[in-house]
Amino acid sequence: MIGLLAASVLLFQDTPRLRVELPNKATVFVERFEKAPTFSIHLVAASRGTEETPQTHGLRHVLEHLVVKGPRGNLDGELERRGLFLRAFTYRDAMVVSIEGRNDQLDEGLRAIGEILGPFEPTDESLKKEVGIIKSELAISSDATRLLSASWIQAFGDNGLDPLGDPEVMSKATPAQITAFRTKLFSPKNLVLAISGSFDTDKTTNKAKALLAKIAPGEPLTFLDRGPFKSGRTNAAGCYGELRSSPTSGCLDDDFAAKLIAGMAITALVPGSSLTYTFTNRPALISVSRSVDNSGLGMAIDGATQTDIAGAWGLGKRMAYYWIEGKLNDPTEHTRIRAILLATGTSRLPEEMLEAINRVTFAQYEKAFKAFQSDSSVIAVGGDR
Amino acid sequence: MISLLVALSIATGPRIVEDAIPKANDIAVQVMVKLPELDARELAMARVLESSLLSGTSEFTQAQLLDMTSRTGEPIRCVLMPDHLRFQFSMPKGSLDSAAIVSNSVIRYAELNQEVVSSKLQTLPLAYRSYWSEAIENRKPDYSRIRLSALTEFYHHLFRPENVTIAVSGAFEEGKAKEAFQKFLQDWKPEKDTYPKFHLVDFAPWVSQRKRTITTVELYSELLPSDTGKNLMIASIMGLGKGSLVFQVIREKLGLSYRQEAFLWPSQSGIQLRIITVLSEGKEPKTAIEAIRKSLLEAVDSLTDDSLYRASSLLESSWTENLIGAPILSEPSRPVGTSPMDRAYLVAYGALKTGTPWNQNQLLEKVKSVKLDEVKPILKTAIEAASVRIVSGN
Repeated sequence: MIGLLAASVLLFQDTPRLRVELPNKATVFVERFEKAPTFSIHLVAASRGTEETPQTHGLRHVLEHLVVKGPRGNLDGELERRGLFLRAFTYRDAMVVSIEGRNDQLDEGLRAIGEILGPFEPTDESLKKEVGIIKSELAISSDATRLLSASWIQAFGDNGLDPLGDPEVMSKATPAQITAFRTKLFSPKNLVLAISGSFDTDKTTNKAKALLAKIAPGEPLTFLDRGPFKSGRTNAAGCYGELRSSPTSGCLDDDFAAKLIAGMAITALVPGSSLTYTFTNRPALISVSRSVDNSGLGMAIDGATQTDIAGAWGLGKRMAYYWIEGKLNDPTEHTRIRAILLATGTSRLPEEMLEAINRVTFAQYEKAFKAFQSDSSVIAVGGDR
Repeated sequence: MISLLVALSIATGPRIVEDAIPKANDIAVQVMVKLPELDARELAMARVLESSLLSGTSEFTQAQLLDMTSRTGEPIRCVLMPDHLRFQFSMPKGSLDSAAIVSNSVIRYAELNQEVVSSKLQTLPLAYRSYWSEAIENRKPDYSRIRLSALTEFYHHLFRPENVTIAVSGAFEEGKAKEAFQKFLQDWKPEKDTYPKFHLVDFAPWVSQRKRTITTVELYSELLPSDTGKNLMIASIMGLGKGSLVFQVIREKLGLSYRQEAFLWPSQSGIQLRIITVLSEGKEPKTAIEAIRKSLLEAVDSLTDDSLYRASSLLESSWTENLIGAPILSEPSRPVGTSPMDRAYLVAYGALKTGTPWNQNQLLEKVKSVKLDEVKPILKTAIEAASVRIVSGN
């Protein structure tokens, strides 16, 4: 029998936190980690109203490249010279811009966020340059990324388009279109500004509020309904390997916890495989893939005996628990995940994921494991070496 | 705080180095064996060993090994690098004896069974590798004529007391790790090494298995492993951050690539500076590589004291605040950071490569003492004399 998994030190417990919803519906979230040597700021823009469609496929990605350049075109380089680091990611449910640095540089980080939220004037030339860079990025995307993109299309059709984009659509984008798209994406209801570090919580909250308060309320926006999950097999172009995906509800739910344990158990059973999931409060896919060959992962999952499944239960549960705990014990990751959860519609705490993992029973795990088998999951296979 | 690194060799036994970190929650263990110069067949054997060493020992099954080492999120695994083979794992605070028992068992009593080895011999030659892993390692192993008996002999040849370095980092008091590992390893005496001394199988020309037409071009050159401070400084100047020479020259000035990296990588004879560029579509590799070489040399001429300050500050950000990846890798695409596992890696690797355990703070001090007039000639020579490697899909 597996006992409750409990970490010796959970850094995020008893952390002073402050969450404020502004009159324009933007959210500020600040949490203080007394001994953290660095701060992190996460500007999260939920994709409500700007999700990928065949007509807009990749516009958020182009926008991400453009906004992080700032008004002088080199914001990330300027920050780095002063010892601050900017990273940006575009996921299906949110765009995340993160800035990290020493605690005494927090104001510089906030100034940079102000520039990202400030005047935005893309030109034909800047747009063309970034689309060119994204084309290079797409050309070298990994096998796992391509398998994953194919599996989302199989699962949700056009409602599962990847956030990387379609070069043809991006090439046709105009500065006016991108500017209008940014206004929608940066609508206050979509925005969460989350900050972690060792600082005065009230003062930091006020500074963050000042950055978001001036944005005018936008039109009411809702998330696109992805529709029902459709299992089945799909061939992924331009890549090699095999992937299995299973649908999950939000990452705080028991269903996700059981599938995370099952996914981890599969990675323990199949050498060279890895698990992919992006934290969100929305329905999504959890996937296991392997690219060293394209016939082995599925056979191991479909052919797993009751003994195999039972044998991987303890290991899968521990791997799931420590994977999540490792993320939550990192102040930057903890705040980033909380910000994404807030942006995708819940004020529940990320640590509930650990409680959910502890609650999962063997029967729930076994059912979750079988959800990765061929009759219930999406199978994506790439045959182009 | 700089922790005290204590190295110990048990008479003719393995070198044990400990790195106590009082505030840590876990214990990280790195067990490293130095590789001799490998021929094509031995490289294949090393690859098979990497994927089958942890299949079980005479004391523990694979499931038991995984179970014992999965309580902190870093289960046991094996990694092959150009100059060493290692296995690594972590355990919770208070598990020093268990860590020593697991290490001792794999070091001395690994059971390579026919079924696992046969399966690896069938799958490894056909395994698909990404464009990046082909760029990193493109020697062609020869998997033919490998027998279980030869592999077992090779395992015992590598895992000999005088060839093993064990590093233990993390939550324990000074001296306790050494004591625990000594207890289980002190009766380990070198046995007669029956492995043949002569290498026979040359490397066949390498051919990519990939069909995707991604091309990587590389400049690589050998550095002196004992110049740790200078090596880290030049790798930081070349590869760290958006102000690095590879980013500024290859991506911003020449517009050749979305991905370009410069880092230190082990080689048999020492350590290499590797500059790898994934070419954007339509760029001709030979023209691109010479343009890269020329522009990098011009950029080296323009380096100033500020360039060195920027590079050492970024490395410090990496090793004190974990804000950016360092330009020294413990495996492909895995920069050495500050976790107990990474600290154990540096401790073991420094001891294995130079005879002196490394740690981040000591290395940073060395980097900060490097002067501009020392860096420029090394870097210019490294780029001018760099060999070229071009890897293309078919």
